[in-house]
Amino acid sequence: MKTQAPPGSHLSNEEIVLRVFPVGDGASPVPLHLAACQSCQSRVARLREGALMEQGAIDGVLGAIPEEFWRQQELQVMQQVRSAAAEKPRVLAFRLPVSGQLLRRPALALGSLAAAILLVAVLSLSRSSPDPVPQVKNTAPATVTPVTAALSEADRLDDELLLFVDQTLSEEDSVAYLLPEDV
Amino acid sequence: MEPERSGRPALKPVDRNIEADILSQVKAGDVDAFEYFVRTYQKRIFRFVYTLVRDPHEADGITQDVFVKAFRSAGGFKGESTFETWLIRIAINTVRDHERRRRPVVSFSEISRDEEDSDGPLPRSLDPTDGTSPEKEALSREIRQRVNKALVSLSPRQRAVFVLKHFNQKSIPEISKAIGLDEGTIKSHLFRAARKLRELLEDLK
Repeated sequence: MKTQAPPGSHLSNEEIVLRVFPVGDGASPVPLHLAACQSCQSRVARLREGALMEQGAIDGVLGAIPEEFWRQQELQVMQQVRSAAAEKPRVLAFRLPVSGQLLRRPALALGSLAAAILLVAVLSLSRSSPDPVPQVKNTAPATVTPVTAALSEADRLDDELLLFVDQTLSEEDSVAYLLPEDV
Repeated sequence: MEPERSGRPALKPVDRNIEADILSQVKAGDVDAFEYFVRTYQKRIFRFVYTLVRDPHEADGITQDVFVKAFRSAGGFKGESTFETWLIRIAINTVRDHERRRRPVVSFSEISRDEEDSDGPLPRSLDPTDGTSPEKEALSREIRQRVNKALVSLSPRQRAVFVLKHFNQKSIPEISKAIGLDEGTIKSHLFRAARKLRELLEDLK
């Protein structure tokens, strides 16, 4: 008696891998071919076994860890936690103003910032807009004149010196004696 | 409440109301109350971290860091996910930071290399009907090795997604919360991981 061949073609490697490591959460329906083909079933089983061996190796490592290890780990963690608790208030006081407002409610924080900028802009405009001309006329000469006068006296002395230097340099012969003979 | 102390990590569902109460005690300043979380989750977190780094000493250090970080930021935990998912998220970030600090990654490859050295030539078939029992065992070891190799070759994020899904039996929404990516991206990572595995199994006809 001749056995009937399974319907369809053998599963590809990708299909085999996705049977063992499915992308989705729920169980996917078994393809007709896989239900009937012993060879494909074996390939799926072999990969599943390999994966379970890998998991088993991990669990084996964990199982071999003595209880004392976990107790020590717990003690060490709690020791660090207590140290962290001692320094916690200082850290929180520094962090909250930034992260609390800006990160949790960015719209509110940015809205407040925009409102503050708008307020500053309005105040600046309102200060500069009402008829500033008479004030400028009254204050400008009083403040500028003494400074200008003081500067002109100092500048005049400087100008005299600069003019002298300039004049001296322009007369080549007057400085020729300063140069070495062979130049 | 005394959490399980031996064997495989306890996978029984944790009462979220009890956890919320204990967490509010911690937030109120009862530092010792945090011990409950350490006892309940230390093995699960260690197992997860160990699966990623494959070095027990490193896994121990990272696990401790995870709990200390969790304590420091306990005030920020809003209960939108389970405490375990939140811890896993911290663990993923901590493992990533550790890996950044000590590149190139060697821990996974050390295990793989030892196994490669000890194994001789292996049959190139996934079909158990064409080999004897020792050959089948060797083939299973080879496949396991390749699963391991595929994991090593994944990016840290893909590896974390793959381990959570297939080794920790987490659902896509849980992984999504733990990793902080949408479910579509999580599926995409899983698909890419499966593809990498397929490539490594290509010659095992």
